[in-house]
Amino acid sequence: MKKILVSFWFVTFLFSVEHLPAQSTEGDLLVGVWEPSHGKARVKVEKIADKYFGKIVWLREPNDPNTGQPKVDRNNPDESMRQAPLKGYRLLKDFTYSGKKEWGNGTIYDPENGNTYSCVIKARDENTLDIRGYVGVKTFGRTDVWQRVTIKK
Amino acid sequence: MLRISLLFVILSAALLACTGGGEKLSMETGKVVLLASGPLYEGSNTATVEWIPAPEAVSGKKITSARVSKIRLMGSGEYADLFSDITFSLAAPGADMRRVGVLNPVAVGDSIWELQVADEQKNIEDFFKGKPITLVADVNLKRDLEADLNLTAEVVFETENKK
Repeated sequence: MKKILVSFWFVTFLFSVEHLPAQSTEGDLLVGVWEPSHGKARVKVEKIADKYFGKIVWLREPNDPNTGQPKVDRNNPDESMRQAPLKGYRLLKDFTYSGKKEWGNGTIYDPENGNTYSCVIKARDENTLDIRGYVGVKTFGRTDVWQRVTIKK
Repeated sequence: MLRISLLFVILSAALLACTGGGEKLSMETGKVVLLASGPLYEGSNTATVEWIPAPEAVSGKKITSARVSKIRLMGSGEYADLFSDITFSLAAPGADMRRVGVLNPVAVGDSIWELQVADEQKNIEDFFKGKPITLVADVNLKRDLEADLNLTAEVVFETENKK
């Protein structure tokens, strides 16, 4: 009887261990390197503290044409942070996976104007994302399509 | 005239009662090691470590405000000409990631780096809710590194606690 009970708990444990990471694996579809439609940058999405973050890892024009130096976050509202480099800049922040290939509760930063917008991400497929930035309600926003740089087959 | 004076005294007392009750404390991480698993390639890389504030520093206290006042990173001599810039952030499950420090450019030859701390630091107190805080260092590497990257960090927080 004891053996049966132990086996039961072992099977239950195995099931729960197998079941729990399944959610996070599905959410990890977002991890990778993505290119926005303008093609001027590439963004690497990684997972930190159970949330998803995307940082710029490649710029088509890495240097500021006026200074010849690497581009910095010159439009940041916080003047003390304007020396932060754009390469490595984390512009997608704090996304959590909400199921059905959608990530929410995050923000997207536009270095062109220094504004931060609420954002939702939806995967059309393994290699295509709809990135919707908005202010207030989702209806009033703009969607950009990002493509995975290294296509998953 | 007496009424106006009385009103002024009452308002001052109320203002003092609202603002003067906090206990200001300094909280240090001590030396913690941030790791990025190698090999690492030229460009942006991320080193992280989870840090849990000492229970006696947070238990039974309500931290009403907090800010980072100092960020110091240290590395081995081989890192002396490896970084072009460093940014430092905080992350935690119950809080939005905050960038709190930057050093750009990184001077050649140094192996201890004092980061410029952000003037604006919103809701840093959200990180002190009993969950581990992830310290995040983003470094732009000038060249590939065929090994792990280890950075020792010392971070100082200034907190105000409700008595």
